[in-house]
Amino acid sequence: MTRPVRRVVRDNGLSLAFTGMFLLTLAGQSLVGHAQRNEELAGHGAAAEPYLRYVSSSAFVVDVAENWQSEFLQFFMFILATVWLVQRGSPESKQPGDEGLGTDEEQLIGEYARDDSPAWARVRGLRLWLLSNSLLLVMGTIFLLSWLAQALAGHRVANQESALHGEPAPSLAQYVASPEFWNRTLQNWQSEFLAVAAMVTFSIYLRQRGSSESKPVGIPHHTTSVVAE
Amino acid sequence: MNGGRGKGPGAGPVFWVLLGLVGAGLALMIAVPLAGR
Repeated sequence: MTRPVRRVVRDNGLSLAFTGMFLLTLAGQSLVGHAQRNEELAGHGAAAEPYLRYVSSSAFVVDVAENWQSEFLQFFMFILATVWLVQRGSPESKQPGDEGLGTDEEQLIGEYARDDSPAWARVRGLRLWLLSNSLLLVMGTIFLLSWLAQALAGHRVANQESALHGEPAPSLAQYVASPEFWNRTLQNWQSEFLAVAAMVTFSIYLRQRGSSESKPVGIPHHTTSVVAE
Repeated sequence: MNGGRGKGPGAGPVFWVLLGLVGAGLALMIAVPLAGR
């Protein structure tokens, strides 16, 4: 690798590694999902479905979307909750007493903006509001759109199954009120919320040397925010 | 400080690539059921 390329790869290692793992595991999901689909079709004595037809089907989409929505909901809730709630001792939390939106001085906005602050941190009004809430807005939008995709694709699959069994097709409203939709939804939400609760509480007492998600190994358990102390 | 305008070198492209990836994924996942597939 040339020097500039090596530098870009090193500077973006976290993003590149996780994007790569995402693409590989999504490809893996599509391959095994296709294999499972064809096993089911064979069990019913039906002809196998081509791969491209499977990956452009609502059956594949609903499985992908139900996991997307829960992940983005997890981050949305975590970002929102950490504004107002704290956990003493957790590096994921602000200091007890620091709950809330913070002052303009702490947030480096308006006249407190630095020369290298984002341009919208210096202005007042809609642009400052958008920048101030942009992470929550984007994560929340992705959550809602993935959940919409799950509902639309799940509804399509339910319609296809009803047709196979000669039953009347549910409406979209009936589908989003169905146990199937909420079972797919809540089975993902419960695991996300457990993982956040575990991360917040375990990181009070447990360490991983070298990780930005951990307090330094020798920092006392009662110390909350490492940067502020 | 890196002397840039609030972002480090190389921070821009990964942001737009990932946002584009997520946006394209969402558009496809909504289009597939709407197309009746």
